[in-house]
Amino acid sequence: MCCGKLHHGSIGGKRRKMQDEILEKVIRILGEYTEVEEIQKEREILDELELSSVEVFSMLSDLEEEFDINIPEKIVRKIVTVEDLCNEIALLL
Amino acid sequence: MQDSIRIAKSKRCILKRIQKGVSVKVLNRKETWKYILISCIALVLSLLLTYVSLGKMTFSEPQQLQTITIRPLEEKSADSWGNELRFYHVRINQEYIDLQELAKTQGWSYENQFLFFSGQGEELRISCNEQVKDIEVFYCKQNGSGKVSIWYNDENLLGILDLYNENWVKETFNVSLLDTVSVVKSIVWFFLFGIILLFLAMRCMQKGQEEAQVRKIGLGAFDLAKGVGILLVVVGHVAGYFNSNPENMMTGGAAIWGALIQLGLMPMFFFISGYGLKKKKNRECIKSHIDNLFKPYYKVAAVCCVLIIPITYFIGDDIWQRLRATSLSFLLCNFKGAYLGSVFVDGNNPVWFLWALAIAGILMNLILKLPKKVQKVAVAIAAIGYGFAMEWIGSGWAIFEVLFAIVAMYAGHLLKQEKILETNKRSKGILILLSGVAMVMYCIPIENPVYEQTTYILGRLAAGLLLVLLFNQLNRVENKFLDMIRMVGRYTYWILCIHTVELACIPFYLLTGAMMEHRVLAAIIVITIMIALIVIGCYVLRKIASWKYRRKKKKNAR
Repeated sequence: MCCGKLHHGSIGGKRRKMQDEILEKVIRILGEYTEVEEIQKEREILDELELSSVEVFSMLSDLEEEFDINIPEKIVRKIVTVEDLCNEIALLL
Repeated sequence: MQDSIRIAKSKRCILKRIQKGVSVKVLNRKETWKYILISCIALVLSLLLTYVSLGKMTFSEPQQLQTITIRPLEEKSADSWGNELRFYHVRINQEYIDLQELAKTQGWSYENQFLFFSGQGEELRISCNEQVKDIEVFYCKQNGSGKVSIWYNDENLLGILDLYNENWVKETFNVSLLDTVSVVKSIVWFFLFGIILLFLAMRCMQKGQEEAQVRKIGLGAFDLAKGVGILLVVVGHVAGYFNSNPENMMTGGAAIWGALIQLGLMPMFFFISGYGLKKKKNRECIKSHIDNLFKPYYKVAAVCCVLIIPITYFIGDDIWQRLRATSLSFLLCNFKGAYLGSVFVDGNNPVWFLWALAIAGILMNLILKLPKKVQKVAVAIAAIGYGFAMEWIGSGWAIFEVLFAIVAMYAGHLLKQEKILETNKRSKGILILLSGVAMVMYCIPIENPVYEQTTYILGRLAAGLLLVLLFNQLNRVENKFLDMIRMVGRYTYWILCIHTVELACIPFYLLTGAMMEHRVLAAIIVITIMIALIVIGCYVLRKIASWKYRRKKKKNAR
């Protein structure tokens, strides 16, 4: 029981750590394309980070390269905020 | 009994919508009648405009006298030692014109051929009372001949045709003009168009009564529109190869594709670009436009100029002439093929879009910094300038498309400001109705330059807007086929560049010219080759991007 709790705790910790890492990398890559200085996870990518469609395309390519994933179209059109992007990447990993 | 079932059904429907979080307003009888009345008025208006339009299109034109003129030019090839122009036959709407009869009043006849001199004010003029659909001119190229232009009423059909050749060669010039729209086709088209618009508008207005529910626009919101757009652009360019006009001016089926791309798709792309527009610092804006748009433009130009040398050598054409035409087309950003003095400059194919977008984007950034009222004045000036530019400036540096891009991008920006795509506002319905009216007005041919230019701009804006709204609605549908098109849409930027290289460098015209008898097969082959090259090109660019990203990462790590 005790081990189980510890186990769950470590999974939760690992997951949080992984999510933090993803957020950090996503913010770093987004920072290369936007002038906005403070990128928070609640921010809307198109609306608040002021990315053009060409920049979105390049940014998605960089993310795919960084995480070695393929972001499918059905997911892309649902991504609105930085947090959505991080969550979807976490699910793809 | 039936009434109670109906009430139960409608209650269930309302309950479902409430569960979904949509607040529901049930229309009362008075409001229902109001909608029916608006529908009827709009339908009557649409039919009235249709009737006016039909009258203009089908009954007035055939009464006019149609004129085909073969007009000699002063200039001729330096090697030509004479100024004799020789024609064997002229066929209009598949019927031969009696050249002997024509020779009584103009030129002269010799062995059933029609001849006249250039440079002496002579010309071959043929008049007919019926609508011209097809013109064929059988002429002779010879060493003592000059250049001519062929006109249909006031329209130059082919630019300049050089009749000089070292040896005698018989050649044919053939052009199919757009068919007059038949009455039945027109009625069906306008009726369907009217009904669809009316349905969409009423649905939006009804939904506008409900509390607006904001649906956020995701990253790939316009991928479907872009995917369909770029695929139609590729197919449209293939249609251009089956244009029998020697100077590649759009006629016949190719003209329909040209109109579709020019009228609807390009404005749609500009709308989409305007949608994501935000004012930036000038330096940042210019830097991002140079990196994202100007650099790719000149990279494509460089690739084309390099590739064209071995390809032209291989097919045995004049390398210098091809290189000059191609490089000038990119330097001048020539929107469509045109003459610079006596030098023919190619149109620089789809990549003009990047140039126009870059210039318009930088200008829009300046405009957005102005007070709102002044912004509108600036955009109105651009719209008026567009009309003038089309008439007088011509196609160099894609100036008129830059001016149109400003208008369309500003409209896209307003669309975003008013959150038209995100919510079901009543204004969306009104916009659809207005767009419908603008489209119908565009179809009414009134020979007045101000009316023509105004309705052309409004028609383009309306067509672009309707396409954006249509694809926005379609974007809610999820299936694998649409996802595939969305994927194409995501890569539009690369596809545009690769497609430009294809069009500028690969002589598809040799294949289509050799297979004119089997046009469908030829079109399938060309489209297949183009798509295969696009896929390979995207794969290569992806690899390059990946390599660049890894290199940048390594640099940063150090």
